Amino acid sequence: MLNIDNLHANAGDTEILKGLNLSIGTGEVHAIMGPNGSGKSTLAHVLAGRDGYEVTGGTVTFLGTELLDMLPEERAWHGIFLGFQYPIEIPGVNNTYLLKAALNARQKFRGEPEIDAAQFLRVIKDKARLMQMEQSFLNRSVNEGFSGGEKKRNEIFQMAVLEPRLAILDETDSGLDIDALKIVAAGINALRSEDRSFLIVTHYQRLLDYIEPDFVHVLAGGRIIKSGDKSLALELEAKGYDWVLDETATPG
Amino acid sequence: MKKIIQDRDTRSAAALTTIEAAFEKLQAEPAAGTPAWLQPAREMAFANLRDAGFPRVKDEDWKYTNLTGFAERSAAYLENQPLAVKDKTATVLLGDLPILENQIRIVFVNGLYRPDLSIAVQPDFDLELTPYSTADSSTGKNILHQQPIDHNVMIALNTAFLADGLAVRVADNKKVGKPIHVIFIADGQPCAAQPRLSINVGRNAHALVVQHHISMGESLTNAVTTINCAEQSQLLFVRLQNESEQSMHVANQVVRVAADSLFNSISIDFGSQLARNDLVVDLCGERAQANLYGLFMTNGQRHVDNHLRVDHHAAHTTSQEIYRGILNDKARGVFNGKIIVHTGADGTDAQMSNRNLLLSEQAEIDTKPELEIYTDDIKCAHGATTGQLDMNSMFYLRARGIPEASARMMLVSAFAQEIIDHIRSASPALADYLSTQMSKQLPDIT
Repeated sequence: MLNIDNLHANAGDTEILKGLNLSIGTGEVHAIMGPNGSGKSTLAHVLAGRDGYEVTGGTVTFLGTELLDMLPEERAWHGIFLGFQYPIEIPGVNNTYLLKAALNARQKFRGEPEIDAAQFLRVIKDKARLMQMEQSFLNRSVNEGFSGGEKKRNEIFQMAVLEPRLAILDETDSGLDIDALKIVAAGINALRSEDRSFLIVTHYQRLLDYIEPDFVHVLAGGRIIKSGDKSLALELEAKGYDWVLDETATPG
Repeated sequence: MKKIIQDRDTRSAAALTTIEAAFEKLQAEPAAGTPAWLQPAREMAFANLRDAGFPRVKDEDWKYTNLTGFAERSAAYLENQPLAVKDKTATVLLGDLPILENQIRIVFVNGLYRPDLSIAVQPDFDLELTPYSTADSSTGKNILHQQPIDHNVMIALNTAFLADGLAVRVADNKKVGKPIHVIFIADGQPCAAQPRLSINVGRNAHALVVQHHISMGESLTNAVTTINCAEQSQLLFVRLQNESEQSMHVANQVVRVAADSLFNSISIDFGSQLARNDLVVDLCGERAQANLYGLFMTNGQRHVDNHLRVDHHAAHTTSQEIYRGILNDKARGVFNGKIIVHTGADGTDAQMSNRNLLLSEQAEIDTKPELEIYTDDIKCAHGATTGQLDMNSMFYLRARGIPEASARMMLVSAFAQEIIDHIRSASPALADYLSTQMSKQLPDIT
């Protein structure tokens, strides 16, 4: 589904990603872990098309198309979803309105008619229930006045409505208490399917107690330096990151 | 530069000479239907106008707004007055307007009352709506009493050429919650319209008045509104200027707010090539309150200037000013908000904020909050911000699949909507209309 080949990217004058390779198959859940400043969030943002990063080398193909040539909205239409580490508050833009406009923009891109209003309403009510969100949240401005946990739940709610092919979740677990974490994880698990893939970026192993990944990668110094199955996450939790860094350090 | 400035002042002076000739002609042969009781006030006003002359470039209050074109258009149009009214244009323009909740609609075309276009009000002795042209001499003198004739030169110009107007009087204890919709149409004929509205809200009375300006072509409007809010009264005053993009529009509102009364104002400018609006509020009784909201959207090479002045004359008075501007292309905006806290106005609370969105590099806003404080025990705050659309919000929306152009419109709309929402509870129909008008502008503005 997603193939990242030798990706190099700068933020300003600093090279953050230094030849990153990653391949995600359809239906797979990949977790990317790594110390602070290793480039995890940069990877998520570069894949979603945020301004402020310059790709200096490498390619990324998504479902057979070159991803890096696309605008952020085009990536969304092709099925990319980014769950933000810090969801933005947008006063005056209604949550439901945003989702309807987003779905209709995608319909238009696909050459399909606008979504049926009644059906849309049913869908968002169902998904809100899944995320244990009050109906009143649907009619509020995007994230305005939401607590940290509510914002993260809203991200997963949006994902549930938009039904992406690849969900990139950037530190979705950060700032969540254990109850909110369970709700968020249950929401993500409910969306796992054989045609949807996940790239879960996280600093801690905690989230992975609830969402079982197929693959775990360690990102450090702008490259994936170690990959394994879920047991790697447990090992990282027990030993920290230093042993991986030592093990893979290039001599000299 | 100096040469240009001198030229401008010379041109304004020449325009005034033409206007003087037009005034003398009109005094010799008053237009049919002009009330005789207006004559003394008009003469006095013209004398003031002639003595003061049009604002000069060096006048601080007119630093960023050049009135030369307005003076010249006034002169050219006044030379030819009066003119017949183009009915068709007025009807077409009216067709696009909403009928507000209580269906009161009073229409003026080129400054003159048009009963045929207005929606009749049932006789109601607690709510008097009196067109000047229908007022007898004693009513007329009553109407003019308490109105400033020479508060400034633009008001003097309005009074000097005044032919008609509307007096709104809400009796003591009367609560008129639904909007009184007063529509001033300038139909694009070469006519210098001088709309006039006077509002008196009685003791413990409530009212909602909408002053709505629309126009076609190269119209010219110089509007004056005088407002008196008696003790314990409440007035929501909405001024909506949605004239053509070739129009020139100057408006003055002079407001007195007595003890324990509340004046809310929402001032919206969507149209005009040149718009200048002066809102002057005198909080003259204890615990008087004013909340002044404003929104302007402009693009191309258009110019919108909002001047506010709030005088806190009495103790425990409160004022809040929240103005927002949205500018694109080479448009120019001016915000000048002056708060004066006079001796004795202890316990004053005054808050002012002006936020502007500049959507192009060539758009420009000059924003200037001014505080003059002559007492100690007060709370004052002001702030002004000017910036572009928030890039984080833009990325968030686009990452969800909203195309860039739509994302811009969503954010600009949200920014504007916060001002419009202050009208919603009082008049959903007007709020909906304003939202629609705002949305229509968005593709051009963003």
